[in-house]
Amino acid sequence: MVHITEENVIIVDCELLIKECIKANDGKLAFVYLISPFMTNFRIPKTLTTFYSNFLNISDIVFFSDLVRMLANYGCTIYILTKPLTNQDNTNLNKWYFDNHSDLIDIYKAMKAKIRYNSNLHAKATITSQGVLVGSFNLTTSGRYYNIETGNYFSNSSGIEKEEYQKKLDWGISIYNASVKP
Amino acid sequence: MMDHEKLKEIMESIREHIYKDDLDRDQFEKFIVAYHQLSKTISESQNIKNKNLLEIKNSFKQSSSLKEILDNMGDINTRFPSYLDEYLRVTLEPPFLTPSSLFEPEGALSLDVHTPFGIRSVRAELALATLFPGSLTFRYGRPLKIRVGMWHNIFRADLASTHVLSAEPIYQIDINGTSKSVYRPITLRTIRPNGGSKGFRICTSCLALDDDDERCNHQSIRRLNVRNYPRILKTIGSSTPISSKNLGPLLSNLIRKVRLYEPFEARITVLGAERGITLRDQSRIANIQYDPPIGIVLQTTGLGFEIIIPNDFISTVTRDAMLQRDLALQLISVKIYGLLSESNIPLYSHSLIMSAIISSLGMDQTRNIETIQERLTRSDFVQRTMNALSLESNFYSRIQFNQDNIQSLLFNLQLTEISIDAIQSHARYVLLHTISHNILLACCITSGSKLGDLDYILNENEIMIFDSVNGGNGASKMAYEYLKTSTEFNIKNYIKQDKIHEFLKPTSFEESFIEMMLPCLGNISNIVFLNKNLSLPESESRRRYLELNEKRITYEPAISRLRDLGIENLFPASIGYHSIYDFGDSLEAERFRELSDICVHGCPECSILGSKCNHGRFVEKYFLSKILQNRYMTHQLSDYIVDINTEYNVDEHFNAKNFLIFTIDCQNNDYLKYKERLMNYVNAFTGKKYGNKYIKFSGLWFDNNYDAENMITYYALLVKI
Repeated sequence: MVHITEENVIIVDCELLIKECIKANDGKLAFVYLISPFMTNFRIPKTLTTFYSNFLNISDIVFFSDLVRMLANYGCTIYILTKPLTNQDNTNLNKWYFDNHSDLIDIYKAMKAKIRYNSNLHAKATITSQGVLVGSFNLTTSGRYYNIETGNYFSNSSGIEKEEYQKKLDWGISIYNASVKP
Repeated sequence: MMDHEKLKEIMESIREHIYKDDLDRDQFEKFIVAYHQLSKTISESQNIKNKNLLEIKNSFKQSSSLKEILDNMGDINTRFPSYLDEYLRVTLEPPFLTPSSLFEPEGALSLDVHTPFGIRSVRAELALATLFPGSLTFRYGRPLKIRVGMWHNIFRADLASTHVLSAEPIYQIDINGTSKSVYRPITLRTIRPNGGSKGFRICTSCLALDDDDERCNHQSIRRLNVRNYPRILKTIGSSTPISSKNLGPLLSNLIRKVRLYEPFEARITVLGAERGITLRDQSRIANIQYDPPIGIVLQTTGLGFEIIIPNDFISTVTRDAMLQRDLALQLISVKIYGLLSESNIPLYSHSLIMSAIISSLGMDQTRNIETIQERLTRSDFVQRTMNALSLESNFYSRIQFNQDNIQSLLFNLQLTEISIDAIQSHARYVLLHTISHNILLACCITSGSKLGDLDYILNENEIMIFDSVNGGNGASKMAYEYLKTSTEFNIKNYIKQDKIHEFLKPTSFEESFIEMMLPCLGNISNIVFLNKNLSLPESESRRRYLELNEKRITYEPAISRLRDLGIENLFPASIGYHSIYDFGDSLEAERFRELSDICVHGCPECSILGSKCNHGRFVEKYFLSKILQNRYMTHQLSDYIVDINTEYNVDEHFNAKNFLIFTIDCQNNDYLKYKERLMNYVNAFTGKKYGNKYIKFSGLWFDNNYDAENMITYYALLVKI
């Protein structure tokens, strides 16, 4: 288990998704659950997506959605669970955020991501076949860069850490299944 | 003296009267001219009155320099000169300076091309690359040839009598220890060649074109497609570094420093041209040397990449017998290339001669350079090579050689030193040259330029990349700006608005350069193909393997022969026409040649630049080595490579160093299992903190080890950021 703060959350995020691409490239089962009540499309520093390989192509990533698109292109299944934002009047969100969230969901829909909504959602997690990242951070610019956040990373390795990973994975699957389709 | 304003008033009133009196047109015109002249004189006299002595002195100096420019222009030896543009430009000052042409970069050097349709002005660097003497062009509507004169007897073209060159040499260059004067071309003359889009009439024996310019006496004239390439030598003039950068993890182990030079003076010299045709599926090339060489001096912007090549690496790597023999082969090949013109032998004989030498020196059998040197200096070397060459040429295209010329070449070749010192020096140069191709390609990718926009020069341990146009085109500057420095990354730095742009810059240079330095899939799949019992781990390499496997049935004898020879002997096998192997069938021999020219050694397809290479496309492969590059990478990273099966204190490593490469050797064909083990091992470091930095997984690649051919090794890179 690794303690996650606002300093390393985006590093772990990018790494988890890139590793899932490698797994998908091998023809193995690869998936990602992106669980966050609020989502925006934010830029990723190039330092975090620079990757050297002689058989994999990890490139052209500017926004977080590019990373998700790359996963989809490698054949990875993408599950998105978020809050339904259908009417701005019912929220205290500003218009910029509201539009950005809707646009991002449209982008994910175009990637054939499987989207579900849950109006009671407050949990935040990124779950792949290789690890799970849980904590206080939304999948937004503030959650990834500006706010003070905390959380944990459990890898799908062995022993107690694997058990924890499995619990979180089961939890993620169950709340996803319990949520509604758009 | 009358006041200026008063005089003006009087004149204005006269003008009004003239209008009112309706003067006839001639008188009116006379008055207007007189009025303007007088008005101008008055204002000038007024200005002179206001000028102090210093201003008058400065004006005098300026007029002297203008006179000097005009005098220099008067000395230019041009057939149909037009000084108007140049004259207008010297009379103006910034910001009113007009560009010499709307479609040319400011400050571009140009020269005249005298065509039957008039004089055409062309950018000098473009002319040297595409309109060099001996070349054919369709750019003026009809096919034209830049004249080169009768060169075929001595393989030398006398340019001074054919074209208009500068009266004085612009600089000196050193060619094989001889200093030569280089002249700037002023006017290039052209001629209508015999032929057009369907080919040109050319002598298949000496490759002289059948026209009034270079006609030869041979009888073997055919209409064929002709290829021409310039042989360009680039050297550095005076250059000043204005800033420098240290690069980040991994790159800093290969490149010590990158410097930005502005101005960067590049001297571009065209030494000659290579002319090629294809006859009966075989290539023939002739080398024309220019006498004197022509060139220009570019004032541009450049980058200097200081490459770390440790002496201990060169001495260690050249102990390898296979590499020693291959480098010796390259040395001999380069030497022959230089001797062909001196001995009046067409360049297309190079492969035949090399093949005969490989046979007579037994370089396909022995890898000991002392034995090779001893056989080269033996008294019977010339005769044995002549016999092998006779067999080779009769077997294939029945090319008739002038025996005296060949003997002269071989006697000269015997003076070549094949010592360990010569091989080490060649190895260092070949490595630097191979890296320079990768850096040039990476700079092109980073700046979005074409290969024609950038150029390179090797300067000891520094690879100079520069804009290939006078005044610069911004490509090298952009590549420099996008180079990531060793600046620390952390979220606090990132979210500071003044720093954010630094971290959002593309990392195209790092990614493309490092990936070109990694083992290439072509290389791996070819080795694996020849080691029949090995399958391949990754889909792209499997595809390449299947591509080769498709040829298996048709190419069976050639493949068997290659497998018998072994990977270590593929480089000598890929040179020449191989009648020495006595297939008894020219088609079989050709198949062998084709198959042996695969990416194992000396065929670094990913680094090949063709005619853009400073050594020309013909000898390019004798100045490149993918194996040397792979070994260099392994050597430079050796302190950072750790097998996951060994005991190693990773924490201690990360506390001291900024990256680590974990490896795993695959003991059998179940590659996915080994890769998964490596990935699980790497997973344990995800998000881990060392000091105030975090570990990030930044690379995954695989390689096939030459020393243990039946083994695939995976590498995973972790970087501390």
